[in-house]
Amino acid sequence: MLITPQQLLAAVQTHWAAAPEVTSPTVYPGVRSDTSRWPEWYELWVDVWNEPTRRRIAPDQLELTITIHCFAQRRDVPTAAQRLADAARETLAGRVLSVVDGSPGSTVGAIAILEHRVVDLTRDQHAAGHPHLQHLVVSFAARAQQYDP
Amino acid sequence: MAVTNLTRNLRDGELVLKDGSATPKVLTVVLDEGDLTWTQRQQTLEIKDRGSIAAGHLRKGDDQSVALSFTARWTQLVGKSAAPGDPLQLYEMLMFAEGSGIESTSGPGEQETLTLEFTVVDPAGVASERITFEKVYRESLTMSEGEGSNLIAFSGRAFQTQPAVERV
Repeated sequence: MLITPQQLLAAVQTHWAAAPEVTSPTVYPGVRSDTSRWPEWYELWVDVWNEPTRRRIAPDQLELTITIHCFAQRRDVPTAAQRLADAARETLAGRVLSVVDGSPGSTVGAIAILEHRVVDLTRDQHAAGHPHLQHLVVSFAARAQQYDP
Repeated sequence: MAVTNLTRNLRDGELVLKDGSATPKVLTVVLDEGDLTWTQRQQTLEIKDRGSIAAGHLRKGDDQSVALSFTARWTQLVGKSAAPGDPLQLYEMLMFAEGSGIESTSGPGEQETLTLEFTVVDPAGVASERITFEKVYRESLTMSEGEGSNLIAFSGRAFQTQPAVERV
């Protein structure tokens, strides 16, 4: 039985939703939200899934990219998006998340979150006609591994 | 059709170690890198006739053992030898670690050896093959760190001139 994308996404979202560092609202994949009046918010994606070459008998292993978009539209706090990015790094960097199959206590694998990269897209937002929108993207490399099947 | 022309690759392989217990302890190496390599060597004596190859001849030399190596990623180095209820780990099997219960396939007083079975599954399910190396002994075991995974690299020899190859 392979680890499913739903299980991986659930593991990341569950950890993220419970993190005390995350105090701003988060938009998850598949959820439509009107963010026009929000001063700041996150968007969370697991947007790259790569299966490295392996033996067929080897446990399922996936290389992932977890991407957190940090948005702030606050003229009063010009570094608000940086603060969101710091919170995202604190929440995810170096963490090992359990992957469960839905039933309580049934851990089927783990996600090890590795290094991250931060890109500031605020200038692009200004060029696109959003002069007050700060936008930072924090991308985490991660590795998911199934425990012995 | 008894054979298939699909080339085999590392995805099709399965590496299993067995010890010499009455009921052999078996360890399937699930995290190996798929880089098993073995070399069947042959020694030949060149007998030249007063320096001439044209007038000379060849003789068979001594038997040569099979050299083999593989690399595996490691999760833990010791398991069973640290806590009897824990699963056996590759490192402690290769090292015949005390408490692991691994017994040599060679007789008492001889070098410690294992049996290594390498099965290459036919992806078409027609003609899988098993290559069995007997009396495999360790020459070196190298542990190294890596960005992706830490690795155990085994290098050794099988005390036979060639492994047994059979269709399974």
